[in-house]
Amino acid sequence: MTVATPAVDPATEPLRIGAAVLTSRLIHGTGRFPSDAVLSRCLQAARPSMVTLAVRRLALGAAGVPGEAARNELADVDLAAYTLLPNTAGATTVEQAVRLAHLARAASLSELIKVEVIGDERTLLPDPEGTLAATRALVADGFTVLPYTSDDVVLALRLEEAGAAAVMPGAAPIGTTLGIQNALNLRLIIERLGVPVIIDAGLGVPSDAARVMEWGAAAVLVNTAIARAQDPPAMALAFSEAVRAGRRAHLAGRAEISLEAVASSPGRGVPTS
Amino acid sequence: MTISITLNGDAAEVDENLTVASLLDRLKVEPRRVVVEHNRRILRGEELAGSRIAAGDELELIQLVGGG
Repeated sequence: MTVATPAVDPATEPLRIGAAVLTSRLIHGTGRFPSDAVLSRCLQAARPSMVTLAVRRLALGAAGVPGEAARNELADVDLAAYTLLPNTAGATTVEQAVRLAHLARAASLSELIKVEVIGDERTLLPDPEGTLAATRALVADGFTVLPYTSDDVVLALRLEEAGAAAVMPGAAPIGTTLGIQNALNLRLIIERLGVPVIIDAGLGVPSDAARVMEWGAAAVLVNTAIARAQDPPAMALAFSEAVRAGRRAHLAGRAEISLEAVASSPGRGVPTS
Repeated sequence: MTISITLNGDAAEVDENLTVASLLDRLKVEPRRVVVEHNRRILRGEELAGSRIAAGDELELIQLVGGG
């Protein structure tokens, strides 16, 4: 008997979000890195398809002339090599998020926008009403909208109904690296939504990423866990391997759980008598 | 003569009759590196040379930076 080898490895099937085609399911943040050079080495190690960015004022010096701070922060990074996912970080109202999204579109020349409307400065948890309203407004404006949301299952469903192209629930508050805090809700969001679910925020170690990918998350977004690791490029590589392993495990299908032990070795023919 | 405007949220004095393109040139900012918002309206690249700055105008020079 011969077993046909599949021509295409399903684990490498790209993720499509709007017009974007992602061959890597690790979305790489670009904030909080020790330097541009370190960020650049992380990107070379992880080889992401998509990177996130923020939209900010150009820093101007005291005389109104751009000083050293005005050099392009991402000067060492070839942004043209990546699908850009700008965010609306810094917005606390729908109006601010919509304005930032339009500036992001003009700067990135991309319709993709990660909507962030923060509802509480200390936890940086999203404002549910503002996130939903901003998603509706930006979908109407023709954006491909990926809202950052909490682990609230019903809100995630409402965001999908509002036209989100993907939904991005956080595992833990932004920048904490606390890892998965509400496994059940993340799993329910992954189960219930038809659009891709991208686990965003708070992941700490590669096993967190592998775990959510095993559950069927479409991708993960990792920033601080890489940027603040002792060796960021090595951690970037570890996350990319974990995401691939988790995706492959999801497609492979986990073994059934048994509450009683089941011997792996044959029970007969044991030379004990 | 100079006029008062708001540039990236701060009060600034600029010469009269400047265009946005000439302001960027004076600031040594490459136009393709920034998005310019003039009184809350985003300017297309080809509009920079024809957009004149008046007293009280609000200008924002915006770029993509590292973020999550």
